[in-house]
Amino acid sequence: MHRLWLLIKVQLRTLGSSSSKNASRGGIVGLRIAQAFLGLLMACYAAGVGVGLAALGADRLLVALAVLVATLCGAVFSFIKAPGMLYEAGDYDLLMSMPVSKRDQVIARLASLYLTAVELAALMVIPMGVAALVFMGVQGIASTPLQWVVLLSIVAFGPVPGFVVAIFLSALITAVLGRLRHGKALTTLASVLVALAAVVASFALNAALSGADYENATLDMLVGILAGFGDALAVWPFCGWVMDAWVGQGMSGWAWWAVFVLVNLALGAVLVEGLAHTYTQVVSAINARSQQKRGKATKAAELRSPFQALCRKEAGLVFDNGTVVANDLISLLLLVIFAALVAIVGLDGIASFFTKDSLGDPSEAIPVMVVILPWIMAFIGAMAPPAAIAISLEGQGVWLMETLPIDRRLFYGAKLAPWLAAAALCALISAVLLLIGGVPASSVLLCFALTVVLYGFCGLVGMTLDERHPNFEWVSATALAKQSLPIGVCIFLSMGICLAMGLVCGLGYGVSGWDAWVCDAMSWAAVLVLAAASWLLFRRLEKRPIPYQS
Amino acid sequence: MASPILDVRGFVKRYGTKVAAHGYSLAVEPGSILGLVGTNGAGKTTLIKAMVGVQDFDEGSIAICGHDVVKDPIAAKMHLAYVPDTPWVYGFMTGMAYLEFVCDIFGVDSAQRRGIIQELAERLEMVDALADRADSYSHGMLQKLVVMGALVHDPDFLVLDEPFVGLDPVATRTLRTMLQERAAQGKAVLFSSHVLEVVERLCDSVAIIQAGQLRAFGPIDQVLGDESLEDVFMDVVETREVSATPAAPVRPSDAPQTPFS
Repeated sequence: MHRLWLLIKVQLRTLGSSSSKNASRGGIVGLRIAQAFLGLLMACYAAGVGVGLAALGADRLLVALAVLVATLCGAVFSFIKAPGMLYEAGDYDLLMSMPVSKRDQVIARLASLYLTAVELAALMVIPMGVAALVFMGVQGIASTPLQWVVLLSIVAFGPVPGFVVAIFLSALITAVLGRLRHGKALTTLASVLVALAAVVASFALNAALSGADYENATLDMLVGILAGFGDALAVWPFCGWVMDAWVGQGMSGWAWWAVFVLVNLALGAVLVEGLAHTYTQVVSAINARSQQKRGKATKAAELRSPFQALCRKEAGLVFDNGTVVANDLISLLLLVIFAALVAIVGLDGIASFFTKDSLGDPSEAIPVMVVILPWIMAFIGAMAPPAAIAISLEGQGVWLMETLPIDRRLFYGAKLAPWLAAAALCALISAVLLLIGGVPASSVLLCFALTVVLYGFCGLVGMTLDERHPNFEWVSATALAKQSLPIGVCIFLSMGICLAMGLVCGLGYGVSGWDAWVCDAMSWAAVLVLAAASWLLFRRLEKRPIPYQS
Repeated sequence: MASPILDVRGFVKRYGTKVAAHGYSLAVEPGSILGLVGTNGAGKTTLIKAMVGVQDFDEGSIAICGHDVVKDPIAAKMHLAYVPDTPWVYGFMTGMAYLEFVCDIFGVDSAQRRGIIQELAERLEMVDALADRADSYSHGMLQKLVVMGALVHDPDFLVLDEPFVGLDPVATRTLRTMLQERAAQGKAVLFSSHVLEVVERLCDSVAIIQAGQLRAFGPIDQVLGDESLEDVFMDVVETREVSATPAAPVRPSDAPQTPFS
């Protein structure tokens, strides 16, 4: 038992530790503060949902939603983390060579993943449930001990079904993709598509709900709609059992609770025992690589210039890391998607969406939107350029950059060029889509120029910071893509610039009565200033030596 | 006499208050192989990394084929190839892609590179592996790939840090033969190793570094005399109290000294 507990502690630390040995104390503290703030926001939102549903008498629906949330927490987090913790774990050889049973190893690895899923579920479910129960108590509806037990059980056991499915699916997908030559690229593409699907689904759901005439619905109708949602969710057995336990009287309520707990325990036990018996075979099967990746070894290559070779290498570094792509290139994709939306629904459609709850005429918003559109586009596109972490992304390969005959201008130029080109391409595609959507050509040109220039500027600012304190000792690029100072600075810098200038132009035009050309002139001036600043930054960078690995 | 391919003068490197190299000098002539030996932490890798541009240094000068590595680093690196002790290449690249990358940087002609790569791959038994991603390679395969990358552009000066670690016996012999061939062609080789028998058999000259000081340097027959390299090495290492200023050398070690002076 002591060994098992030691293993669980190690696995939990592996899951939660920074992947960078060189992460500064300040950086870690800042990250924890940001995480705590985000957690607080989520908890407050969940509490608001709980109170809202309780106020409408939809507490039955509330617990069903809580089960769904817990299931999703079990599924999503575990699906992402399972490969690294279970099937491709760096400590697999070490632990397998130690006097530790396979069963204990499996329990420790699964426990660390599951406990983290429980933590996430607790963050949403407990505030939601507690707020609802407290609100109901204030309304004179006393809660029962069973309801509190049900709430806690949702947190403790709710993630199980999603967890089990995720563990199984991730094994299957890891095994399949590991055999494909371009498995990593496919994983990246799949992750991006899933993320996009989630974004599109949320917009679609929002649009669908917006379509419902809630303003004119009576309260009874609303309660009826919510009850309908609850009945639909009851089809999922785990939701159904919890809902029956929640409203059940006496022993029948406790019986349904017991069913919920016992079925989840049984599922968990099946997973643990099944994996414990097959763990080495599963890991071997996953890590066995196909021997059929042949055929291109003797293909002659055209001589590329050193610059071309370096740019190709930069692209490979980024695209080999799904997290970097998903975090740092997704903004360019979102840029195109936003422009596509404008092309499909037109500016008047966008204006209607944003003004639907206000008293204003949507058509009055269009000129303001045209004035601030360049800053909206630049904000979407320029968020987190990969150039900001491109130096650190060299990782242990930096010795090559240090020993090959590559001059500094080439080195730094190749770090920025591919991404600037990608930004220009996406901005060009977006420009064409905006034209189709009826945006004036002069505004489209400004959108293009501003997006590209801001992208380059932020990339160079990030690269300047990265050059000062590069982190070559990362184990996973996740820390670089999500938690590094350069990326953080880029995000806030682009946000700050776009927000400030967007407000100035928007308020100047909409409130102070400036002419549109004045706002455009200010935006063009900003383009020139950013371009000049970018040039100066690059000139300064190219004088710096290629960073040494300490 | 041709000027040395490697010319180190007064090399000093400090890490904070700790002096890792106390200002020594050495040189490597064309057509020779220099073995660099020393205890763990003696400063061998410090010297090697400074030579190849991975690390800066505080005093002195290092020139490769007459090009100062600080003032003219690109020109110096054009004559140089480095094989580190822990070979690491970009995991997303196949072996072939890595070799093509190196060839592109050095401007190796496309028509020539195919033949060179094929020959190296056959000698090091890497033909089938070149189509695989580098992150699927074993340590030994990575080592071979990095050696191939070092040789593909025919450098004048080849620097290897612990090159025989992780290589199978066949590859070890092949690499030894390749190094001898390079020296026979008039190129220069410097490698560090803890395997003293290999150094003794392969090298024309030897440098023994201990605690940041060059304790012995010169043609191998002069440094060893009638003893084995192991005996000389132990003799050097066990000499009492290495002082802050270089003591009288145990073996001939004037600066700069070439193997043939």
